[in-house]
Amino acid sequence: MSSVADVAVPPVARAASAGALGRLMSDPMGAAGAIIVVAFVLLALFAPWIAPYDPLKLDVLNKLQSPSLAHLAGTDQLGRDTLSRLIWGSRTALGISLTATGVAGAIGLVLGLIAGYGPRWLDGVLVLVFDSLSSLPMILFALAVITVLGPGTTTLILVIVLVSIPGYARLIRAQTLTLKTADFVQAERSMGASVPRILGRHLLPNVVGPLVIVLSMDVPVVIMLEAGLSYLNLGVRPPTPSWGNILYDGYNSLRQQPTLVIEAGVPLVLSTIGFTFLGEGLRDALDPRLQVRPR
Amino acid sequence: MSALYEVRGLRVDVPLGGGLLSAVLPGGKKTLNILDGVDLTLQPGETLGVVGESGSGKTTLARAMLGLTPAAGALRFQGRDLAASDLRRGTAMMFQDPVSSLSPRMRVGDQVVEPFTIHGIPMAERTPAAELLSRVGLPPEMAARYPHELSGGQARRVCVARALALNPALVIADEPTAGLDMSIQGEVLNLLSALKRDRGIGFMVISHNLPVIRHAADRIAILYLGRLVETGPTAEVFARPAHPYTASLIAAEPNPDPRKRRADLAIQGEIPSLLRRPTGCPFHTRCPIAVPDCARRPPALTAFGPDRRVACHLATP
Amino acid sequence: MSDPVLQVRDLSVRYGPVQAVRGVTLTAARGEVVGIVGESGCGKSTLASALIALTAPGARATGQIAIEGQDLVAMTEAQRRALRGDRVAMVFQDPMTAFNPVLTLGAQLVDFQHRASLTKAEKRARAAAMLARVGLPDPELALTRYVHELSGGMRQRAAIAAALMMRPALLIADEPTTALDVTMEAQILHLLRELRRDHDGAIVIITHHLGVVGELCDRVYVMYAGQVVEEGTVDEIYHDPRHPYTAALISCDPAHIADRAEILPTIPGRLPDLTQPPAGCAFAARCTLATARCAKPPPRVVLSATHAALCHEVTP
Repeated sequence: MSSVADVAVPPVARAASAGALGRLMSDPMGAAGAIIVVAFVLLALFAPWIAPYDPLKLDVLNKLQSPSLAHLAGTDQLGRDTLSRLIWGSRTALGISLTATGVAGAIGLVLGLIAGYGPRWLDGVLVLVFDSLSSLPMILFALAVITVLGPGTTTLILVIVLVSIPGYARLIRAQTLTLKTADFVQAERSMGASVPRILGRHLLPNVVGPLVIVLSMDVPVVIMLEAGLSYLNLGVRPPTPSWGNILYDGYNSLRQQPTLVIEAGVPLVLSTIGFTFLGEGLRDALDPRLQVRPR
Repeated sequence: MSALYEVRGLRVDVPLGGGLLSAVLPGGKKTLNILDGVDLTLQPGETLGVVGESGSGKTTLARAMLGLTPAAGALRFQGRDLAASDLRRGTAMMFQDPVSSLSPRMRVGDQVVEPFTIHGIPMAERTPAAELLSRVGLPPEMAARYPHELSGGQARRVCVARALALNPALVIADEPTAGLDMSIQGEVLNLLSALKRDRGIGFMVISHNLPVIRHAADRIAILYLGRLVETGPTAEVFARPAHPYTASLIAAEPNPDPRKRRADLAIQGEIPSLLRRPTGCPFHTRCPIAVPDCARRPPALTAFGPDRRVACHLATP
Repeated sequence: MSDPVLQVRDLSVRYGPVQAVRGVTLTAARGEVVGIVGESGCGKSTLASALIALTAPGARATGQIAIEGQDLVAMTEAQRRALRGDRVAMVFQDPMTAFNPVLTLGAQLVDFQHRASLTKAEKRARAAAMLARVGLPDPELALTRYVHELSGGMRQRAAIAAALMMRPALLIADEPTTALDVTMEAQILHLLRELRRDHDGAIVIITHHLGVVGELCDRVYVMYAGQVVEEGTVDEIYHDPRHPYTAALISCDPAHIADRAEILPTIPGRLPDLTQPPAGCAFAARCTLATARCAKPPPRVVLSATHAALCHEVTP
């Protein structure tokens, strides 16, 4: 059999995902976001080795110092080194936000796939559940749960997960519904592929892209939420460092040491920028329309 | 010799609208009829051409035959009901758009061997991807590519390779030459006829392209608005069409020979919408020889010669 | 021959590294239907968009496209815009995307007449008359409809009506029947045949379907790899194809082959890479008549007043 009489195919990137990474890093915004996020992750992972001091060590005699060579960010009202607390705070921030969005995303993915692909009655029931959950205002719901279960990291994560699931599930459901009638899904059915195989091997890789982008953009929202609740003393309990309770302490000491408030704000702003840029960059990098098809 | 596939009285309705409440409230669900009264027989190693335009139900027929769409009527594959037969391993379908019928984020090599994985065939009995690809004239390097990196012709061959993996007895090809240049559509058709010859595979080719059907099919069945209007051996039906719609289709095909230009058109009007199906014979609204009875009684599929059937009140052998 | 409405001289269009159209020369006169035939990658779509000056951004054109004597290539964008819809009109392959989905057909047809100094009622009447002329059953009703409410055939008829309403000197139809059913295709071809009698301009049909060419066209240009490899009357092209590609293409057409064939002919090989077009004949790699001299650019051999082929191996 002669070789295919087709138009000469220009060389194309090997794998779709390898191409996406390349595209992400060549976009200035995406690359900047990726670098910032990676920096924060490293900071969180290696906090014990990077932080100059023990964040819990009290040194009341040296309280509320301005930034100096000994304490690059100064000290707080109990003499603890602010820089070390900020670095350890990234553990809290990222730990909670990544866990919460990750768990919510995973559950939303599964529920969305089931709702989109399964029988219509099941879809109807699930959509009812999603609508009910998302009609709860997040802060009030958080306050209610915290009142019952007491403040703390686990409660916080539980609240965020419950409130975030419907949004992700709906997104995945919409994508799944669209792909359900696609030719390749029909082809898999005609070959006898089982439902789990179709969902896991064929639908999941094609719907997960937009979800990853949304998750990335939601991480800073959760960071802010955690910071806000911690500021209200409803989140992470002191003395565990959190950017939110550092902000609270800074606000209380505003007259004596105004730098604390600004310093607490810096990582909040930076992490928000980093994750948002990463999300935008991912969206452009994963856009299938930018992939060239040979004619 | 038992038939490869038998269809008797196939009827397909699809639900319209609905939602959680409409299933529960009185009044029931509205349905739209796509196909009705379809009788077909496919013999092993034979190619049946199914011809129809939009709204004919030809794609729905294929889906029903593969058990992808719920249908009423008798469908028997290799002498057994669909559920009891080896339908998934014994049949394969090739879809109209080859690129979109391949999973976008899976490599070609993994996709052509996927039928083995789905049916749990042990590794020792599997044909390697490179060999499957070479059967359709593609080099082994193709296995590393993703569907969006293939041209239409290459993707089509990949779909053929995948369809053949389990040595099916029947392959249903939906518009196998759509979108292909004329100079290479022969490649796909020649490939299919070589497979038919070498492996005794039966084919059902769905197309609205009459010249292609004329060369590819042994027998043809013509659908109009979900009803069979004519069946028979290809050469005979083309030479002496019994049904006015068949005659119109053949006459409507543009002729490349400028000395054979048509003076006039045999057919007027548009294909009616399925939502407003004509009474009686579905073709009577456009038929050049329609009589009042055609609007009242739907014609039954009756014998017209030894091996032909036609559904028309006015057809006489 | 009456004065040519369209005169293309040595047109080349490139998109970045790809030379889509290479040195094309063709004409279309008043009252003529000219067909441009080729397969994918031959450059006919690029040529079509160049004729209406709607090439993609980043396309560079050299040469001349003269419509009623005015050169499109040399014009400013504002001047081209003045021509579009007025002297040059186009009917596209997909009638659905040719119209705006959120406006009624009537609103759009009236809007297309924005250059005419008529009242709105007059414009509407003119639109209705045109719709009747193209065979739409109830023109007044159709004007109130949205495009998605019309069937494919009716949409294409409406697109033809829109194009002809302004009485352009040149009508370009790019694959006008490819998206339609066989029976509707026959009706549209019949319609175009009828309309050419009232339309006093030139019609250029771009297609890959030899049947469409056979039914509609007076003269044909066959394109391959961005060049015109043969030109002639439709009779000459079909009954006396001289260029090996034309002959091979016609013999591959299943409609041309009378008896049922077990093996259908094909043209083996593939199109050359248009980012580096071959110096000699583009078809040589796939041609059964190729010799050593095909490595040089082939001459344009004139075979009659109307017939010419771009080939070393052709003699008059």
